[in-house]
Amino acid sequence: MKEAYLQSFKDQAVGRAAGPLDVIRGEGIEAFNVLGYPSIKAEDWKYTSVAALAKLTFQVGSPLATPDADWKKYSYAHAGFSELVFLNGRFSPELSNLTALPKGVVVDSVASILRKRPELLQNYLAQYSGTTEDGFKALNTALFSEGAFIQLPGDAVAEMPIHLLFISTRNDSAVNFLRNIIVADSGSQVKILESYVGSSGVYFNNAVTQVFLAENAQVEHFKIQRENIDAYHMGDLRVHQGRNSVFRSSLFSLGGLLARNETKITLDGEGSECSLLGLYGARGKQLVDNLTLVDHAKPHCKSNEFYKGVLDDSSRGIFNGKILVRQDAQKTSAEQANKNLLLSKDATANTRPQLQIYANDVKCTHGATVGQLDAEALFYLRSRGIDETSAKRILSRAFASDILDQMGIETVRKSANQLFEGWLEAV
Amino acid sequence: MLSIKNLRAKVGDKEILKGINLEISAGEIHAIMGPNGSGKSTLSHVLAGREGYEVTAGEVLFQGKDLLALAPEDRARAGVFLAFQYPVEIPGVGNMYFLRAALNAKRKQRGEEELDAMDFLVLAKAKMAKLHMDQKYLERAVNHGFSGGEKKRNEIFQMAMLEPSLAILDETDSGLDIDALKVVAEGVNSLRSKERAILVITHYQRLLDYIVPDQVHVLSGGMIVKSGGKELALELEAKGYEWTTTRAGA
Repeated sequence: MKEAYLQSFKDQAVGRAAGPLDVIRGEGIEAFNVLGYPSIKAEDWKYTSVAALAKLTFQVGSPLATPDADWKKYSYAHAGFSELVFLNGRFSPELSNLTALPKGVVVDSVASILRKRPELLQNYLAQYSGTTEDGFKALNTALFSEGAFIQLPGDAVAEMPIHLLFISTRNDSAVNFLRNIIVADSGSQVKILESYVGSSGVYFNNAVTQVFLAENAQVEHFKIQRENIDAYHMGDLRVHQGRNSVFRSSLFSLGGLLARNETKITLDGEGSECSLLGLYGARGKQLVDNLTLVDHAKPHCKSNEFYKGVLDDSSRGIFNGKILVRQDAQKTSAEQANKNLLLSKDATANTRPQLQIYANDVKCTHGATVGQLDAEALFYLRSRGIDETSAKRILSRAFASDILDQMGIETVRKSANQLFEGWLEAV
Repeated sequence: MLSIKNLRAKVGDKEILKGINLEISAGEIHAIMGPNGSGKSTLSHVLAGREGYEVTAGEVLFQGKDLLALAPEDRARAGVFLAFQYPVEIPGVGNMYFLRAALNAKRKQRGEEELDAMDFLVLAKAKMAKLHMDQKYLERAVNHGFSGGEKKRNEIFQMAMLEPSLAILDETDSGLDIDALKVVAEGVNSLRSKERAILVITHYQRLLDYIVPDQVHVLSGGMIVKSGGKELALELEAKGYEWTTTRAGA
């Protein structure tokens, strides 16, 4: 498939006039050419083999599609959210709905920005984007064609969340390179829900979301990953925080045969804070890989991270979480915890918490566990007449409850709860 | 109601129950007393269906059915209730949710209509009032952060809700002060009926001042070594367990 990507890049370049993004896209494809697909020899890919994915042939970009009749079950328009809907990687103005955004807020599709004002993307693409970190991000930089661009001017407060809804339908053998850019200028506030949903097909979504928080900005981010069970998902959330900014991330990941959720946050201004909550569930032969990095680059910053996984059948769940405290980052407070629940003998959890601390006046804690359902609790429930399957569901739900109850946007939290209960119905 | 014949059970290689015989009829309260390690808790666990015990001989009939062939949940639905010595804390599961699921599982089994949240609440409040329990228990997670007394009271509350035919109280008195003990005993006594049998397992005679048994059995070394009326409990209290074991050995 590598050659096909390189060819696809050449083909796209032929049809396109010279523009401000040529250099960075060229760097992307060059990096991909050198890096290729990540190998399990690379530290950050130790437990995640992409060999099967690398063998598959995907068409870059999807054909036009009509939405499934029931697509609105994914929508939050009824709850008053602004919503950008992407169908098989293409922005659909007909399905989208922008409501009640404060003055000066820019919300547009990346394809539209690429046509009208590509220079707007130029600075952001190059900054803290990890383009040369691995082949997937390099490819995304070279080939991204769609996504959402959101820019909030200083002190703009968007009360209602903005939903970026990526629907895949009858999308077999397609790969989509998506790039979302969210820029929150000083003192602005916004809530973003990013969802990936799909009900059929072996497709591949490669999505990079970049979030920039200027001084005092506050961004609440919620990602729901419900790709089709046979699909591939490489998601990268990359956050750069200025002084006294606050970023909250909630990740809810159930979909995909192979799904990777990266979250990398740089606390690059004094007094900035971030929190990361994650809940991942996998069954069958699913593999879900969560990689996080919290980079404490400046003093007096605070981070708090809590991920939980529920793994059934012969699935594998990975948590690879690093906290980096740089030499300057005195008075850092960082917490990290990961807990995994194995519902089957064949399920695997790999958890790898890492602390790298170069400052001396810091408060950091981390912990990781892998366990099974408490046999005592299971017996207690059964001894009251609750059947074994229901008891397992009740205890699995309870295991996840402290994450589910703390997750960001209230309306979304409620649906995440329902989704998880629905997921447990098959346990 | 309950008929235990020559019940032998082991944990790993160690035989704990060495041939228990016990008959309990509806309407009766029996007490099993015995020193630590005599097999009291093993007996209650085997009856409730806890894993980790191997029954090597004997049988247990409950209302004529082979109790040991049933899964724990089926025993519960058939009307067996075990009040745990150490009730399990289950953070993240609401007491109300848990108990409604339990009650409805039983009702469903009997072909009765399941209770909705409102009907359940009305019933639960009435039972709680009888046990002098605060309604806040319902909103808390199952036994989570409960004091020893609260946990035991929660067991009795569950028993009152589930209305079992056979209730087994495993050291329900342990860790209770006298006031809590009275409340718990009152709860148990209020459930005495012609249709119900109660088996009280205890180390101390104290509980039997408040829950007066029809029969008392002494369990020692995995066997019932002595049976008698309620006065046997007092005799044990006065003379100690050694009295029964030496006699049995003589």
